[in-house]
Amino acid sequence: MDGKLTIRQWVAIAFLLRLLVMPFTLHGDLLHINKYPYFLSHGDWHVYEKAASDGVNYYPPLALIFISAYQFLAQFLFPPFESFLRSIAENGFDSVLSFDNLFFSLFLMKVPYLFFDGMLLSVGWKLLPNDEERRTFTVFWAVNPLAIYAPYMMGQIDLVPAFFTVLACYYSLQKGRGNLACLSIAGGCLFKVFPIIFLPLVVLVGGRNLKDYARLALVAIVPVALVYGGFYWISGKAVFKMFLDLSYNFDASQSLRILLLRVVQAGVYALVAVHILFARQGEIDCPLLIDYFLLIFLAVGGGLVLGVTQYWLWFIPFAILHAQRQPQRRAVFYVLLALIFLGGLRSRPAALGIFAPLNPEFFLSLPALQDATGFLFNQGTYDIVIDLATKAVLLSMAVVILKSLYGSAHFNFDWRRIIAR
Amino acid sequence: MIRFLTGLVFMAALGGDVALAGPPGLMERVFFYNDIYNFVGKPYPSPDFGRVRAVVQPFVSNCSNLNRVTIPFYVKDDARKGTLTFNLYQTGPGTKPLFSTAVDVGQFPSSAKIGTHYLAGVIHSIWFPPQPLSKKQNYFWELRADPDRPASGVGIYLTRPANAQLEPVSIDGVKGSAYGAFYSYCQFRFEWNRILSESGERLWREKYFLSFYLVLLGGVGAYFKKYAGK
Repeated sequence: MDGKLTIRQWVAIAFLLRLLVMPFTLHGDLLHINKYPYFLSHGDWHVYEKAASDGVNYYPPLALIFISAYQFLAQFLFPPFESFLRSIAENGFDSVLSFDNLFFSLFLMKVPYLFFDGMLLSVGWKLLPNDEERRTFTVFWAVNPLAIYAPYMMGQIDLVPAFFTVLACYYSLQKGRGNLACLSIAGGCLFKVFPIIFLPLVVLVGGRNLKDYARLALVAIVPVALVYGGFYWISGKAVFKMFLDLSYNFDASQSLRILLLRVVQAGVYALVAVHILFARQGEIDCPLLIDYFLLIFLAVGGGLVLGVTQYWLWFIPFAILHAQRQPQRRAVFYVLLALIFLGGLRSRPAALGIFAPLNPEFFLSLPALQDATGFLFNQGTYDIVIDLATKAVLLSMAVVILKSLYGSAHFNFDWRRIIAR
Repeated sequence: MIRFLTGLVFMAALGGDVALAGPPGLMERVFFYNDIYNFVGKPYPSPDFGRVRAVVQPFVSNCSNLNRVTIPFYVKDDARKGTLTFNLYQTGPGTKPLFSTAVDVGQFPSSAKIGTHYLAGVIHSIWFPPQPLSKKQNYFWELRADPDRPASGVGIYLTRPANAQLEPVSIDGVKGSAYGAFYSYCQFRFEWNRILSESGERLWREKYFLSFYLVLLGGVGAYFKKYAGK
């Protein structure tokens, strides 16, 4: 692909690309993510009530604790950062673009993502057998537009749970490390809820019988329940506001479309589960496990809103790990990235307006992709076409991977072994 | 009749050009700045225009060439009817009418989901000729029920969070603590000298951090060079 550059040079390129955008890009999500932890970093634990009284929800408790701890440290070291955070916490976001230490504050708010980014890269390397594959993974990750845009331009936190999900995949491959895999899922869930979808998969891979399954599930569920329980004790049901706000997305009784989608998703999950149960003993290797994770995401991805760009970061590590082993499927990966671009970047603040810190009036006045598509086409029709095309790509990828799974030597349809468990 | 008289007043005040503000051109639709974004917090419905006569929302524009106000309406699909009159005034020394237009509620599309999560309604844009000196000027817009074709089954959204650019909304002359949930826009003009000097000022303001940042970038460059070919 690139010919000459070494893996370390690609790491430097990855770092450079991220550094280049960190101080000069801002999205409201970054301010929201950093607003509420400010209160906790100053000793006020009633954060979820504050968010609920503002009519918004906040991320799960570990995200809150982690960002608060980071802010506590950073405010201590860099006092201007404290005044920036106090300004967004107390006065809202209206005057943020005229703040004196804006570039510096934006840079600091995104620094923790560099740590998780590096960790994700390092776990990705551990999943791969040789330097050449590690290098390919690094190239794909270094220049991946989503891996740069979502955390370092939007400031979204999804990179952290994505790291925990990859870590769960890594531990699932290590014999006797099922507990750590489940704890990784729990860690991810406490930053953002989505890694919970991988829990049944990790439990099935890590366990051998019902007792194992129950134990592993508890290893993941108990820490999550304890942390949520602690915050429920402090903030009451406000801690669950996120689930209530998103519940319309899960109410199958409201729409036949949602019902159909859930049936397809359950079907894919069931096929993955059956494959795990009937896989030959000890033959769940790295490529197979990556396929499992990717399949679960492909099923879930059918229900995601294409415009919420950061959600697609969840699957990028697995898509890269899959695509680098299957060069003939890389085109599909590129098509999917193109569709995410065509369906995302809808609002001006999320498109070129993300560079508003450099000149708010100029960058926020430049059109977003939706302005062009809305002018050229009927926007509603365009959205439906892109959405259906994405679902078709996800479904066809899922079918192809399932077909290859069930056609491989890994699969051994032996009922007696399952009953013996 | 009232619409006709209001139109005459506005035409007299502005030499007749405002009433002719038709669909905007491509440049206005492409390059604009969203100045006020007040569909925030937990918006809730105002009283139905079947029960109130006028809603008045004062605001300060923070950009030049103010030329659009966008108002999300809640709509009761089976009961909506009638006409509202939208008026825009500049305040300061005296109150100066700038623009007036009718909003036919019956022509609204069906109510659809708006906002991020849970609200439904219709987002309606009202374009008017750009106001070149609008930066830091005071204005108010008004939605008034048309006595000839009274509107009903429709209202705007109100919201509580304070906004430095807004005064609370008045409903039939009564000012409460809520604000109208709406957006305002200015047409953007490409004055490159101003754009570059503003960007330069912003960068210069943080010269110490940017010096450190450049050293950091240089360090990454040095690392890149060190491992070339290894």
